[in-house]
Amino acid sequence: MSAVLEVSGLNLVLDANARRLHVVRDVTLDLRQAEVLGLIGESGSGKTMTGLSLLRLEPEQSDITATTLRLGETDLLVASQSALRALRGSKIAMIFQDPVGAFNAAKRIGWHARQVLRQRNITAWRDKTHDLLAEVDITDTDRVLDAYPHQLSGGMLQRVLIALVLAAEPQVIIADEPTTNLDNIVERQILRLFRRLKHSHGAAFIFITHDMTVAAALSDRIAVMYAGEIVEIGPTRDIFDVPKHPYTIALIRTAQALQARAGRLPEIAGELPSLARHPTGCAFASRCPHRMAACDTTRIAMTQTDPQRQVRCLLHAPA
Amino acid sequence: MRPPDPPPVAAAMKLLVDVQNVTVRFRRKRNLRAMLTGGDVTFRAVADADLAIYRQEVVGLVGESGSGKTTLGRTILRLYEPSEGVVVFDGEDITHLREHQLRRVWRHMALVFQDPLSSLNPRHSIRTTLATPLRITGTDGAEIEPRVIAALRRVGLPSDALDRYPHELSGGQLQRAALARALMLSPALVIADEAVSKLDVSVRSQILNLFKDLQADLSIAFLFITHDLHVAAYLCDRIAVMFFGRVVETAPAHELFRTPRHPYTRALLATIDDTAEAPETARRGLVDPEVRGCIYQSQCPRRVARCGDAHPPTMTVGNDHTLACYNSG
Repeated sequence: MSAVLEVSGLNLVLDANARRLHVVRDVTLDLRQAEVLGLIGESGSGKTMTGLSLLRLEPEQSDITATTLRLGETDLLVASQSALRALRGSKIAMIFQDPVGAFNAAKRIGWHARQVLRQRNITAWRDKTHDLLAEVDITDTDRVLDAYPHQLSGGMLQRVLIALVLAAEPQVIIADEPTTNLDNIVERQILRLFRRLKHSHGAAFIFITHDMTVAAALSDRIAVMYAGEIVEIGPTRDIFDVPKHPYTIALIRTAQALQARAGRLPEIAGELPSLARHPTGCAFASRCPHRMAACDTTRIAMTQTDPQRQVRCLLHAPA
Repeated sequence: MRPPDPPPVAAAMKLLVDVQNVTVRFRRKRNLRAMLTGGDVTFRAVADADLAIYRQEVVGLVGESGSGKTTLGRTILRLYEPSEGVVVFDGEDITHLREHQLRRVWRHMALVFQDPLSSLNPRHSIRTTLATPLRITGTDGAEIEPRVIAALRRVGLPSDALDRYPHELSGGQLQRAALARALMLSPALVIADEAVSKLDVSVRSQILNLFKDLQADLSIAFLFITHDLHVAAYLCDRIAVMFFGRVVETAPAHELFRTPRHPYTRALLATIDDTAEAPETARRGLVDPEVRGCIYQSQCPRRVARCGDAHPPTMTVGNDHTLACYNSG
């Protein structure tokens, strides 16, 4: 299947008080139609900055470079601001962790729905909204449409936001930790909703999360990020069955041990490297049980281990 | 001073915290309509809650945001005063003690917060932070430094952390420091409020292991307040489930996960089963915290007629297993 979004060699450097923070490093990924790609990483791993870069919403004080950054036929690197504005929402959209920030607090939900549908020249907006909200399991449409954002719960608001994003029928939807602030039961309902929408809408999703189990439940493929780089990418099932990067292995083991209520959890020693001091070699080397001399001195490239999978680790590099 | 602790076996049976029928009400923000109509200007955060914590026991308090678990935890510390009910700590009724009387009780309790950075004084070095509890309780000056170093070692911090300030430490190190401070006065009870939920996945397992070690080494009772069921199952001996201010079920951890009885507990536990298609919970209508009858009735798939009459009383349904439900099947 053809890629709806093609990214290669994406780099983002932030200017923060005279310090230059290289937060996204050489990210290469493509997204196929009707696919869900899970983007996993801890805070500071660059997953959100990657997501924002794909909408060209990177911070102002920053330099973005890429070999390819293409949405369908459009080259996002050279597109004008007005062209980008026209794309956002209609062709590529983002759902944030905090739905409250996506709404105008002074306007009712109905006003928001009208704005979205007007762009698609739908005049019978109330009927259409009814269908849209039904899709995200909201049945008391009139009450919701007459409510102000603060009158709805977080889970309800996130559902409304998802419905409105879907209404524009974008080809690519980037969801950044959309369930992290929600309670367990609501989180599960939203995940189930995403799973259903993946089949009913042809949209491709990038699902950004720090939670391995959430990514596993939803994604066709997974990309694991560490310190700004993708360290492993491949089909979800394969990665869970045979993780290759030592960081991925540790993440999966930890999650499984906690669920199995093991006596002692496997630890990943140390902490994430500071963004300002990215090592020359492998960023994970200082925490890695398989560290070799070459890990600290060579810049590690992605290795294609089989047609579907790539890993950034010398253990799997060709001799 | 407290009498010396009884031997471990007897100690394990002794009640440390006994919360009986506690209700906590907060005054709402100025609500014009309520003031004019003479309506209720208070909000009930915890309703008629019972909770027991035995010495050296690790109890989990789980529930969703707004369920009152933090309020209940803070009421045990008497940071809030209950409007009804009794809080007993180590045999003493502390429900209505004044602040100067509470100081004596607070020496035996400590709280660990979700965000260690904001809970540590940014202008104090770790040494000062750890020494302060000793100093204000009149510890002999020569004893302070060795006890600070011992505390640091116990939580796995390097000794060069002593002269660092909070902003110089990473998230995991900060939570270790916050834990060290909580342990300085050898408390009988530590309440940890979402103490691992903000930590990164790779650091979280380090801190969970540290909690496990401390539980094994020290004779401390822990109350873990968390929304993370995996964490609760991993750390706790016994778990209490809260829903909208009510404790709806308590049971030993293994029993709760194997045979949950309350419909809400069942719905909650179904969320951690990632493989099976768990039964869809109703969760459609809004919950009215002041509703007559069971607090869960608007969500409940097993609702019966009398659920609308009165909130079900808490009954003992097994060994150490309590339940507030008319129709748990």
